Amino acid sequence: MARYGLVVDLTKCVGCGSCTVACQAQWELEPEERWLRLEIQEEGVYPSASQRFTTVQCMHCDDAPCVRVCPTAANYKRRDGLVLMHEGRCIGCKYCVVACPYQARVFNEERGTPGKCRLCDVRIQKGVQPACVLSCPAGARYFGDLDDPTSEVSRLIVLKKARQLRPDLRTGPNIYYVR
Amino acid sequence: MSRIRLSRRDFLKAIGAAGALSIGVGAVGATRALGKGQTRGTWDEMPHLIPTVCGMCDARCGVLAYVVRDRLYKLEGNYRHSQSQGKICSRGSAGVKLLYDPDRLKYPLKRVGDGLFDRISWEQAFQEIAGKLAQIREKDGPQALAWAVHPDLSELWDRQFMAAFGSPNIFTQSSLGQASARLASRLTLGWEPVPDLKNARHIVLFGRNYAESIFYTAATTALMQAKEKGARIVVIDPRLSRMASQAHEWIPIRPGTDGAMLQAMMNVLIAEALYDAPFVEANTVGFQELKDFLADKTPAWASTMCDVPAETIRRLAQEMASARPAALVDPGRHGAWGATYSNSFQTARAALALNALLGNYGSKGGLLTPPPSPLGGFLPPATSPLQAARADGAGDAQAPLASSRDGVFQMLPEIILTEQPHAIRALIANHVNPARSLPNTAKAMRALAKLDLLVVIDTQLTDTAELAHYILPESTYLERLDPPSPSGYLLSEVALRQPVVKAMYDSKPAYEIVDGLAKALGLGEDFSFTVEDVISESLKPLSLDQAELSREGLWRDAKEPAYGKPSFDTPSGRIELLSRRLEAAGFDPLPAYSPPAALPRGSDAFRLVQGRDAAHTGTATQNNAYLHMLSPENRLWISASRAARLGIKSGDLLVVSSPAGDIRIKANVTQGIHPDAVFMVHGFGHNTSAQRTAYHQGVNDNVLTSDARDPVAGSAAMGETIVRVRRAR
Repeated sequence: MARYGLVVDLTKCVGCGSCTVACQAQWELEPEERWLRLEIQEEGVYPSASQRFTTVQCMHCDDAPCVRVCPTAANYKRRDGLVLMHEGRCIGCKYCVVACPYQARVFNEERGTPGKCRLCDVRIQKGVQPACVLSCPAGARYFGDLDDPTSEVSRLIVLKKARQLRPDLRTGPNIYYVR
Repeated sequence: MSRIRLSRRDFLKAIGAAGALSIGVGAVGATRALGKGQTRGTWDEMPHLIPTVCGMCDARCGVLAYVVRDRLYKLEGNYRHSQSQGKICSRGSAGVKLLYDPDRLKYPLKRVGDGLFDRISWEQAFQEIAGKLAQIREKDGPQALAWAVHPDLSELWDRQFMAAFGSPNIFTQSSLGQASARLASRLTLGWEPVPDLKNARHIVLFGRNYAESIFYTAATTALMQAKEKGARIVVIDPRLSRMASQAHEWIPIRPGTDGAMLQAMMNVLIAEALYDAPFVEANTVGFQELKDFLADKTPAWASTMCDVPAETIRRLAQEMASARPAALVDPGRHGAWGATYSNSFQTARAALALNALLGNYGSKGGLLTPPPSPLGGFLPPATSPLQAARADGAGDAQAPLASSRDGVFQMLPEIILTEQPHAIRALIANHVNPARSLPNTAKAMRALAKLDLLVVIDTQLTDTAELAHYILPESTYLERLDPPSPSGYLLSEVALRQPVVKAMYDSKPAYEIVDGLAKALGLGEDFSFTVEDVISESLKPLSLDQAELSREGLWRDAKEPAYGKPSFDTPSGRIELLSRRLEAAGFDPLPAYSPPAALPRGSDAFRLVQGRDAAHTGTATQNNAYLHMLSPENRLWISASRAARLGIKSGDLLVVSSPAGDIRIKANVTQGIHPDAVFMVHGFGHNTSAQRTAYHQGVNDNVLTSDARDPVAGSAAMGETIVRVRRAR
């Protein structure tokens, strides 16, 4: 079985925010509803200051806190690695919003449910890359099967020493970052 | 009759309001109602994919529109188009929010009072405007009409209108953006070079910001591919841009001194015999004169001016030389020398000369000749020759080298206000927002308010439209057919912009509006053609018809980029390091350096540097709901060391003043800026309440900017703005 995930090469990310809007457009999100956000951190002292960019979204964790805390089993981990939600089962309790250490869930008041990155399940089942991956002007995002050692993402993880964000939280995130 | 009321305010004050703390969320609803449990982004029917051309900036990248039942669902990069290659920037994706923006202009409007507009019919609009134009022509001559056009695919109509009407006074935004660099390229090479980023091994970007001023997404992709392959990227910029953060090295430079640094780099290349002597010998004129001229322009000489260590300048030149010819200084867009300082033209020349010393023209990883347009030219009916000369003197004795095609836009307010050399009574602004894009907003607003007739053609109710007597709603790029676009990144390509949905409301393409106006004025004979005629004539050399191009969306020449010795379109047929044409026009024939005209003096004085962020195109996108959320407002970047001395902390409200005006803006205290500079992103601070999302979000930088100009190219030198900064009490 596949285990889908992403590699984000932050040595190429230019911090333009194209992924954020491509995701919003793909899922027809409200403007204030962002399933993928860009975080910028300034570091260093003039004249050798720099900015670090990190894009954060649902990490599709192997041991996802949002799945564990969900009282109605609306949140679930699919066998291909995606963390998804049966929206009809959701009671809007927001436990998952609080539980997610990556703050990846965005509550939509109108719908009464928390949204988040679905790793473009409807696209990948047709063999099309997720919107954020395809759109990236810097070509910094890669999608693939982490269980397949020959996949591009698996090779990148080894070659470029990609790491998860906060692996110490032991949630088993499936998004890897090259720094 | 429907009447629109805008909030009344004293627009002549033109003081940018401080952005509110909370992020204003526009009244933009979901694009369709979805029931709970229904998955968003999925459809009962497969969407139609329609290839078209983006219009969120002027780059004209190919996009694919996903359309379900005449409703646009989303936009994606067209993977077959060389400029996008399937990728799309944030603005491109957000096009859907322009189309469905509830604040869009919907109907022709006529001013009936301050901030009050009535809906009228197109017929009435055309008749009334034509009547007023005829009166103005009668009384003050045809040259009393000025026209400002955003250079887009249907510019032909605008130019034909002015030719038929008899006025030479047509302006584009070139003088506000890139005129210095363009003129430098034309005089030095004969064409505007395109950097082969993907194959370069050493890339030096003076202010060029491929992260936040994305033009072709493909160029950003190529740059990052080069980085992945091991190319070294160096950014020289007073500000730590996102591009600088992603480079191997950021060299902060004192703003406006880039020309001195380029000269010192050339000095090193020549003094240490690191330049490509055979290339220089075979392809340039004036090398000996340049060499003599640069003899004393050492890194030590430049160091104090630029505030860059001499050793850094020397090392950079040496590193570039060791990677040549796959080493380049990017020719840039606006950045350090597009149209920024009074010395921008010669700085742009210096960059081209440095590339010549590296011998990179025509080389893999160097600067290439732009691909030729494969399109045929459509010749509109001939009009009688113009009697009047341009009011701004562009192309005449007054400014012999300034482009008479583009004009010197920032001179327009002065001409209107002083009526020198003659009166301008009317302005038609087609997709241009001079109330915000011109320097010195207060003066620009005074001039616009003085006009007897101001007509605005646009998709949005801009600050200029608010002052207009007539507002004519243009259909967006997603609703109209345009003449074919000769775009293409490093290869020859043609794409077609075609409607992906029916035109909404009572909007029309700009060319139909111009055509309607012309016919109402009795100029019908000069407008005996349609957009289809232009398309078929343009496509003739390709033996392609509109239906074929429409289906495929684009045509491309499969050839690789043109590597090899380029031909230079100059009088000597070579790269003109020394230009006799410049000398004849009374300017220095060598790329001489002069410091910026205005200098900051005093503990509270700074040079204002303007720039872009990745979410916005000029003043056109701030009301876009997606882009607003990505970048809701601008702040004033100020260096941490100087802010500390002035008692300024991040988030403090500041008063920033210049001779042109003053603003209140929040501080962004940062380690990422040269101490002499303060920085603002351009485009914010919309003052019209009809733009509900953008209204009073962020601050208008042009309240502060100087209307000085580059004496050679006539372009705006908005970087010649010195401001004083203090905390608001």
